[in-house]
Amino acid sequence: MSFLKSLYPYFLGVVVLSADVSVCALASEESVSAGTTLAQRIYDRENGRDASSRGVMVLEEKGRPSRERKLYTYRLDKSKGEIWSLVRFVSPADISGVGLLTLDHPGDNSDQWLYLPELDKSRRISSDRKGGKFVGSDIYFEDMQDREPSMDWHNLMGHQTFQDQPCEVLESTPRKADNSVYSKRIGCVHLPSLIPLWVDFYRDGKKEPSKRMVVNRFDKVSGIWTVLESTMSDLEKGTQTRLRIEKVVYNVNLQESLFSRQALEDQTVEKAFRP
Amino acid sequence: MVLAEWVRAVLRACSFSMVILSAPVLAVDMTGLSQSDGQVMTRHLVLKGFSTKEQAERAVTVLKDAFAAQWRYQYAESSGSAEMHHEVRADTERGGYLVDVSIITPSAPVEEGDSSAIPVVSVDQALTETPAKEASGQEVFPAESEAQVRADALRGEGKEVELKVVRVLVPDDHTVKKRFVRRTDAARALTVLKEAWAEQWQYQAPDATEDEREALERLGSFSIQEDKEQGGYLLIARGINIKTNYRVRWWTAVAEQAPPEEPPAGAVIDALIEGADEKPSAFRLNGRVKGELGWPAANGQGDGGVHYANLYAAFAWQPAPWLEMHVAGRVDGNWQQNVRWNEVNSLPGEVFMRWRGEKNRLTVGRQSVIWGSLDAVPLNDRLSRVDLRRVMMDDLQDRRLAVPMVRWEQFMGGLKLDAVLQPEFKSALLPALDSYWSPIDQKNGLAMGMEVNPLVSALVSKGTFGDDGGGWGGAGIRLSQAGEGLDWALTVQRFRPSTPYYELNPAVRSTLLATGNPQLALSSASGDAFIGRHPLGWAVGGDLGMPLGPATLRMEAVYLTDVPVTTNDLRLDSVQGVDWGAGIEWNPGDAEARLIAQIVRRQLLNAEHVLNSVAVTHLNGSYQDEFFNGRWRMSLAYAIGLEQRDFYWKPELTYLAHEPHQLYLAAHLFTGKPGTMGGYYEKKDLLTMGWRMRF
Repeated sequence: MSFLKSLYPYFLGVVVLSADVSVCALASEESVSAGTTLAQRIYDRENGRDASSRGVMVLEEKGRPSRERKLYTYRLDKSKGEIWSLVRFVSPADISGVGLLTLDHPGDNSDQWLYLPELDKSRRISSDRKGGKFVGSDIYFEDMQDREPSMDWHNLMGHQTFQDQPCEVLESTPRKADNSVYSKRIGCVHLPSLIPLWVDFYRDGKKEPSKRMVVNRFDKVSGIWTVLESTMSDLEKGTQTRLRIEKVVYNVNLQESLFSRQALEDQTVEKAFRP
Repeated sequence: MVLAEWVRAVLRACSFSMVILSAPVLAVDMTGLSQSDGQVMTRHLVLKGFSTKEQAERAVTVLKDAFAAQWRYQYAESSGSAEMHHEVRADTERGGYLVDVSIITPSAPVEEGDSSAIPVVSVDQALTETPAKEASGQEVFPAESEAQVRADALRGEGKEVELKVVRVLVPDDHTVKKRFVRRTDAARALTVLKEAWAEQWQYQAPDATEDEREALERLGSFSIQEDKEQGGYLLIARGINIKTNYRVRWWTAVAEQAPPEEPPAGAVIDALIEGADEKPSAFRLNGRVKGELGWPAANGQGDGGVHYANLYAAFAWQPAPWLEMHVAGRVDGNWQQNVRWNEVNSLPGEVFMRWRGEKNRLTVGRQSVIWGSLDAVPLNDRLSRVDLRRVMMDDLQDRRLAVPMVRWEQFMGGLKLDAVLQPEFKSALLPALDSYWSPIDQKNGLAMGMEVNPLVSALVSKGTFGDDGGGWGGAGIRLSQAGEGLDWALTVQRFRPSTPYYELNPAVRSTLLATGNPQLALSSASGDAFIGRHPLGWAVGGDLGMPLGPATLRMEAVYLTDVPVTTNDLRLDSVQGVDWGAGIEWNPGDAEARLIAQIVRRQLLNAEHVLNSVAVTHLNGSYQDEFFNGRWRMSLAYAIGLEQRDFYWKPELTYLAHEPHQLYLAAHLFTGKPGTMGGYYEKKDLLTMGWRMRF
C-alpha cells in the first residue's frame, strides 16, 4: 500500500513493514491475499504520468504560532518503479530556493540531492534516511519516498466507515524491519478512489500509533483522484502538519530534464513548469 | 416459502440496483427475462447506453457488489446459491456498449413488489452554479459533442463562451417494495441499498462537486414499514435520477479582454482555486541581517565588547527566462569597546548578468563560485576570494566574497562542464591590525602560524605588512556528474590563493642573517617588512560523493604544484603538495540529529629544510540536533589538529520558533600549542549573543 502516493501527488508512496510474523500468522490466507491485491491496486492506481502542484505546508502546535512552508512539487513516473520528483520551497525566506531532487529506482534504491541556494551548490544526501522530519514538519523522509507493495506484508482487516465514507481497513507490515521507520501501518482505503482516508503509523512495535494521517479533502482533478488537503499528526508530541494543495495539474508532459541537477540548481528551469 | 420470498426479493433488489445504475444514460431491457426449471431461476437483463466500455464495466462492478451483498444478507439462512454472470459488448443497434447480465437464483419466487409513481418531477438548476454574468444566450444539448461544436462556432463569432454540465432531475417510476419476514433482514437490505445508491454517484457523476454529490445521495428514499395486513416488513425504496445535459452560454466578448492563456501542449489543467494562479515575479529581493554582541571570556588583555552587524541584500531582475540581472551588496560593521576600534564598510556582492540557453548558462560579473564537496572546507575551492575578517566564525557562504569572473556552464545529459575565468585577482580580506581577530598581534609580537621566538617577535612588532595582490586571477574548469549511486568531479585550476603567504622582505632577511639584529634589518629595507604573496600554481583535483549505508561519504583530493613555504634561511620557496580529505554526513538515530565528521590533511612533497610542518591533519565537522518540537537547535562545530594540540569549538544554542528570525547564544573557544590557530587565539575565547534573519 502506498499511502502517500494517494496523499501527495508529488510525494510518493510509502508503506509498512516489519517481519512481524505474528501478524502474518494470525492473518488468514484470504485476508492477506486480498490485502496484497488491494495494496497493489493502490500502488497502480491512476496517478497520471506526471504532475506538478503548488502546496502549502502548515506546521501547527497548540499554543504556538503556526509556521508555513510554500512549495512546488513535480513528479514523473518514468517507468514502473522509476519515479522522479523535485520539490522546491519558495517560502519562508530561510528555506526559499531550497530544492530536493529524488530519483527513486525500482526496489529500495534512490538517489537524493539537496540544493542549498546560499552556497549555490547541490549535494548528495543519504536516501536511506527515513525517520528524519522533512523541513521540521511531521512528515518523515520515508513518507515521501516510493514504496513498492512487495516490500510489505498486507492484511485486509475488514470494513469501516469514516466520515460517512465506506473504506477497507488495510494493515501493512514491513517484510524487512530495517527498511522502514515504522513497524506497522494501518489505514482505511476508500475503494472507489483507492485513497486511504486515514492512516495510523506505528513505531517500535508499540500498540498505540505514533502518528496519524487524515485526509480532509479529496476530489477528482483531471479525472484523477487527488488528495487536496490532509493532516499528519504526531500523537506523541501533539504537533500536526497540514498539507494543502492549492493547484495541481496532471499529464503536462514534464520533461526528464526537469529532474536533473541543472533544474535543481537553477530555479528558472523549473519555473516554466509551475502550475 | 421463505426461500422463495427471498429469491423474489433479491430479484426486485437487482432490478432496483439497475435503476440506480441507469441514472444518466442507461436503458434497461427486462423483456423475456425469466426462465425457470423448477430448481433455479435464470433472469436476463440488458443494460444499454454506455458510451464507453470502461463505463459499462464500472457499472458491472457496482452491480456485482450490490448483488453479492444482498445475497449475503438476504440468503443467509438459505442452502441455495446465487450467481451472476455478465458480458460487456458493443451495442450494434444504438452504438456504445451494453451489459448482458444473467442472474441465477434458487427458484420459486413468492413475494411481489409494487411500483408506484413518484410524485416529484422537477427540472432544477440547484445543482448548477449561478452564472457570474448575465447571459446573453444559452442552449442545452443532450450530447457533449454537439455542445462543443456549438461552442466552437460561437467562439468563432467572437463570443465569450461557457460550456457547462447541467444536471436535471427526472422522475423514477421504479419504486420497489420488498417484503421481509424479519425486520433485521429488511434493515440489512436497506443498508446495502443505501450504500449502493450513494456509491453509484462516484461513477455516474464523477465530475460532481462534494455538495452536488451529497445532494444526489439525498435523492434516494429508503424506509421500512411494518405490513400489518400481510405480515412482515416492507422495504420501500425509490429514487430520483439525474439526466446530464450540456449547456452552452455565451456573452459578447469585450474587445479589450486578453485572450485566455493557452495551456501547455497536451495539458489538462484544472484550477482548483479560482484566481489562485501565482505567476513568478520578474523581480526578487532577498537577503539576510545579522546582529551580534560579543564578550571576551577572559578579559585579561583589556578587550571590551566585540560586536558585529551585517546586512546582505540581493536584487534580481529577470525580464525573460534567458536573461537575468543580479545586484547584491553587503555592509559590515565592527565595534570593539576599550580599544575604540570601529569599522563600517561596504562591499559589492554578486553583481552579474546571466544569459541562459537550453543547456548552458553564461554569467559575467562579480560572482562567487565554490567548488568542492567537503563541508565548510572544500579542498577544490581555489578560485574563491576568502573573507577572514572573522576567521572561521561564520558559515562558509559568509566567508566567501564575489570576484569578477566569466563563467560558462554547459549541461550535457548528466554531465556538467563548468569553466571559469577570473581576469582580476582579489586578495583575501583580512582583519585590520586593530581587530580582535587580527592574525598579527604586534603588541605581543605574535603572528598566527609562526612559532614564537625573539627574532620573529621583534620583526612582527615593528615590521609592516603589505600585499602583492592585483594582476591576473586565474581560471578553472570542472567536469562533474551526479549519477546513480555516485557523484564525481574532476577539476583543473590555474590559480593564485587569495590568502596571503607572508615572505620576509629579502633586504630585511639579508641584513637579519648578516647581523642578527631585527631593528637594523627592518631599518635597512625600503617597503614592507612582510609581503603577502599569492604564488600562481596549478591545482588538479577530484571529488567523490556516494551513499554509504545510512550516511553519505564525501572525498576530495587535490594536487598542488606551488605551495609556498619558508626555508630554514627564511627564503620564500614553493614545493608540491597534496591536500586530501574524507568525511561522512550521517543522521544518528535516523532522526533530526546530523553529524558531519571529516578528516583533512595537507602533505608537502619533497619539502626539505623548511620551517613549515610537512604534514598537517585536522578533524573537523559539526553536530546539530533540534529539540522541543524543532523550536530549539543545539549545534557544535569543531576543528581538531592531530599532529599537535590545536582545538576550536563553537557550541551554539539557537531559538528557531519565530521564523524567519533566529536568536542564538554561542561561544568560540580556542586552545592549542603556539604556532597553531588554537594556540594563537587561545586567549581570545568569545561569548556571543545574536539575532539573524532572512528576508
